[in-house]
Amino acid sequence: MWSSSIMNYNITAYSIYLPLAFAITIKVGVSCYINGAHYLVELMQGNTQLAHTINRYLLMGYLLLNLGYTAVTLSFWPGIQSALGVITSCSFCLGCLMLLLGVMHYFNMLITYLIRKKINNHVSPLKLQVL
Amino acid sequence: MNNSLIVTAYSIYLPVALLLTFYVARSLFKNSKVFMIDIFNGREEIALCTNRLFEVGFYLLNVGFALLILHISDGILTNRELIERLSYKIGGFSIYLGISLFLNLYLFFRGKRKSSEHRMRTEIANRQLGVQ
Repeated sequence: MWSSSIMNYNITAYSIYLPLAFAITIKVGVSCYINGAHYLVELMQGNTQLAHTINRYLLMGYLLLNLGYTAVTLSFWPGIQSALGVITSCSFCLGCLMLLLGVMHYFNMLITYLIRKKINNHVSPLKLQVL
Repeated sequence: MNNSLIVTAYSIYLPVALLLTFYVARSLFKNSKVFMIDIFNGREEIALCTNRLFEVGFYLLNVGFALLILHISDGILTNRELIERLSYKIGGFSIYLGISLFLNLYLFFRGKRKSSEHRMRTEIANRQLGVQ
């Protein structure tokens, strides 16, 4: 009786957590995929096809990494003993996931910024010399 | 452990935190378009994309933090305790929100300054080339 009730609460928590986490991860990934395309085209200096290929690889890598993380979280889930615990543990794990995504997102933007800066610094003296 | 008071606390805290995040993000990113267009020298497409990317990051960081600190570990016994806990949580979250708002503003202003410096430098270089 006791163990079956614990299991039921955990299954409820998983069935709330998994769809939400997958939806958030995929939505953020697609948003970055669409909005980052312009950046990649600029970084690849107009080579559109290469940029789109790289963009698709990046999306694939992102989805594998984060959906994998989401799935692995389940095996570290504590046993839940009350209905309140479902809400608490779901919100805690979702919060962890979203913070992780946010930090990764800002880190990626920093890297894009640094690459752009490097390219600009390389290009501008050359341009001046050519002029 | 008095569960009903904890449920009340959650059901007050969550909407307040989410609405606060939503309101701050909307007012921040509605006004930041001007900065972005200025930073990217009027190239509107990439400016709006950057704006949206920042918005996604802002929502992730703030909603994630709001969900992370939802948990109330020990029971709430009285109404007075409920109010104190709630105000502590919501206040802490607002401070976090304010810090991340200022961080974003700092990034925008820094970008604006850098782009205007860059523009000035290229203008001076062009003028020198023109003189020569």
